[in-house]
Amino acid sequence: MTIIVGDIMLNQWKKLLKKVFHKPSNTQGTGADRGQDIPVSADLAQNVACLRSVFDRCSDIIVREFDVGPGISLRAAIIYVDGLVNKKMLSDDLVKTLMYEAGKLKEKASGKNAADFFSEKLIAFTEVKHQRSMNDLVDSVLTGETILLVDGINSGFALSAQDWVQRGLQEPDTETVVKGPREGFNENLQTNIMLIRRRIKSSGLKFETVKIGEYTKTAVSICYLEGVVNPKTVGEVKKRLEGIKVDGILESGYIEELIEDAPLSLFPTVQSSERPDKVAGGLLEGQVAIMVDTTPFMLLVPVTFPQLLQASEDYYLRWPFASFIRGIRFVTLNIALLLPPLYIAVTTYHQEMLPTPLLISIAAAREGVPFPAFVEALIMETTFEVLREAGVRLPRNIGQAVSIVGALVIGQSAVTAGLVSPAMVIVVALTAIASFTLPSYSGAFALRVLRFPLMALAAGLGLFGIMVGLLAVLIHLSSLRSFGMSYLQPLTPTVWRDFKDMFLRLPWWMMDTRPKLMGKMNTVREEPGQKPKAPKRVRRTMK
Amino acid sequence: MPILTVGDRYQDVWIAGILATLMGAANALFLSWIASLFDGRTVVEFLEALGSSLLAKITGLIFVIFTMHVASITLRDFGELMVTSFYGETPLIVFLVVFALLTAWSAYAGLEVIVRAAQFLIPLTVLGILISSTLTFRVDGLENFFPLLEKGISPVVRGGITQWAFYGDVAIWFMLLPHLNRSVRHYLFMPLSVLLAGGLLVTVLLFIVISLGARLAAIQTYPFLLAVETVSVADFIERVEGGFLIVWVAANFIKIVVFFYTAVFTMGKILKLNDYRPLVLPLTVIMVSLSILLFENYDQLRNFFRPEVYAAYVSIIQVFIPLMLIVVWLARKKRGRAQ
Repeated sequence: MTIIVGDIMLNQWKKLLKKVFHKPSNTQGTGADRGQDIPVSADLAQNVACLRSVFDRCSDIIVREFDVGPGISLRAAIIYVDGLVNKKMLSDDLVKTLMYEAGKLKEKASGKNAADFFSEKLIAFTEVKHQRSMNDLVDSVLTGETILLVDGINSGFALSAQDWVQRGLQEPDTETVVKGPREGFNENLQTNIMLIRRRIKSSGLKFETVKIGEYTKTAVSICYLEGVVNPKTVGEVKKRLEGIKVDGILESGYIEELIEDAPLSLFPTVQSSERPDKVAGGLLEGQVAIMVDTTPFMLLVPVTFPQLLQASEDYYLRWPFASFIRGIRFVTLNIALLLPPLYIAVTTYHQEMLPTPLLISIAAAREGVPFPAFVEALIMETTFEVLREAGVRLPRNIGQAVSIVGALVIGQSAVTAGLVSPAMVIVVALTAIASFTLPSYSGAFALRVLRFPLMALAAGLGLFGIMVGLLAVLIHLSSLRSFGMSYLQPLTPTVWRDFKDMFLRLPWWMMDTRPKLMGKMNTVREEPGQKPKAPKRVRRTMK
Repeated sequence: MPILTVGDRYQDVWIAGILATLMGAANALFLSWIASLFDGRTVVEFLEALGSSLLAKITGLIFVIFTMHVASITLRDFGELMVTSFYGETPLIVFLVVFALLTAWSAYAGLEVIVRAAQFLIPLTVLGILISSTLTFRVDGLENFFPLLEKGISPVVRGGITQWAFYGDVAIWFMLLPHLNRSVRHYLFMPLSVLLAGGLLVTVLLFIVISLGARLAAIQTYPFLLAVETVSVADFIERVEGGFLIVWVAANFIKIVVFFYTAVFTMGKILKLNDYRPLVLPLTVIMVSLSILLFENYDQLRNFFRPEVYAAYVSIIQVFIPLMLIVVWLARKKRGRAQ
């Protein structure tokens, strides 16, 4: 009986919640007005007037009308965005040809095949599209294409002469390597696609581009390796991208938040990287890359938690060293998350766990400190987070000042003044250094944030509190999925053959299969038996 | 459960452990044979399909009561350990409530999540137990094993029965079978898991006898805890009971969560609910209350685990219900053949 009542109450609660958070369904889109679509007319003047009215007060849009010649009187116009096109190419190859050479041809454009005549004989561009609707013309102009309109032809030519200023291929700041390629993505989608294509020269490498964002019309490219990728994942990615209806996408972070599996979780279920080699590696393992124009950060899905601990350099170093570094990283993962809580728990509740001499030296150092260990740790951790944030926001040349303030004022003098104990400074410093060893920026962020509740639990309940916190995290991680993949795979569900790229990075001649599930379409990665052997030395026999 | 079972004052407790494991495995083999009759259904659905819905309800209710009871006892036992050995000034209820909330959340997340977490925790737990017991090893402790069978075979058998009772937990699979992967057709994992757990138990018992000796171990409330407290290796690894605490929390968490989930799930089956989740919170409250109300003090709890009480109690689920199932099944089969 009570259960039924409880059920009813639950339903009522749900209804109430729905009422509170109810939003009217918005079917009108996000407000970027697209007028009624009109076809391109054969009358140039009318077309130009129409475009001029659309681009009213857009001083960066250039409309240039001229006569096609010599010898024939035919009006034409080009429309482009100033700064997005190669002007020299336009004037040399398009305007000059049309004005000075077009009339010299023996054949003349006439009637219906005029459009074909133009694109086949006159327009010396590699990419030409025929646009028949005014809206498509407008979109073409805005993406940087140049529109050529000719009087008497009821379609516009969209010519690809895009060229704009872009950043060079620099080494990425977030994922640096000692050994490995130095180039990183930049803000141009075409360049980024090129960087991937240069690494995977296969026709199976597909790029499917869609436009997202009502105003920004950002190009988003879904990239995968056909034959390796699980087609279901590609379908799921497409479905989720289609569901995005926003006014603008300025960075891949927008998309990440709109497609991730666990929007409320601290842990990222989408990986992001600005390294082309990392993305190419992911594609080869069956991940899908989502490449967004105007940002160097590409998204990779699905991703599992162990993958967040893998750096691309792991695959370039020789395997014993790579495995060693993996081991270090598992240690630092635990330090970054657990050292301050453990310090609090041990000094507050479990003093007996420490060897006596160590206990005495810690106790002596803590003697003059006026705060309990938790408050002490909280002060220092907060200070460090503030310093770190300040370091990111500061203009570069003031950075030195902050490091001096951080190291001297806060570290040294806080200890001298007796506000914190030297042991605490060591703990915080170790934690900070450890958290920088994790290759995934957003993964490290999750640990940074989780540290604080764990510290509170440690202060309240000691080791038991830490264990409860960790169990809660474990339960949460076990329930997470990223595009159909369990987040803790291959740990659980256990996939033994994927362990070769987990705690250790086994040599390449042993990594003969792709990770299960992700690359299940084509699991064989390489021919077996490639362990290199030195040729047998032939003993020279003395005769 | 080594904490509870080194009850009697003799050094052959590990022989009792082996005996118990073999008995438990035989018992589990029997249970797994019965489980194979269910054809991937729960015991409640099995009985309903046989046409006795009243019996199904009663059996289900027994399962709910048993699992809730064991979960509450384990919770209380765990809380008592925390209070008596680690947190002298923290009230018991804090541990009970915090742990119960964690349990409730896990049960809410569902069995798949619980099993995933357990799959992650069990290797760590086993490793932790093995390491911490190995650390207690002392060469001169080997003498503690002698004389073998000092008081004859009867105390060994008695101890064996006490420990056997703990292996009856595999019977909760009767309710969890529908969650099992369809490809698992033989249920040999049940005796197998008993053998593995038994191996661990015997290892721990051996190391307790080595490090403490039978006499000291028997008067301890938590002999294994004392054993790890005596650890001192190279003047640096000393008193590893912190590690023991971590392992103990993890192990108890798994046990409580699985039992509690079984209780909630069975209750949902009895009431024929589509979703068991609304039951989680009320049953959590009941579990916490039970864990406080069942025993006035720790001696009463320990008393409950005497072989006359606990073995008899567990026999209901481990022996009588399976026998009843066979009788009903055979009766229906015979009737079906007669028609």
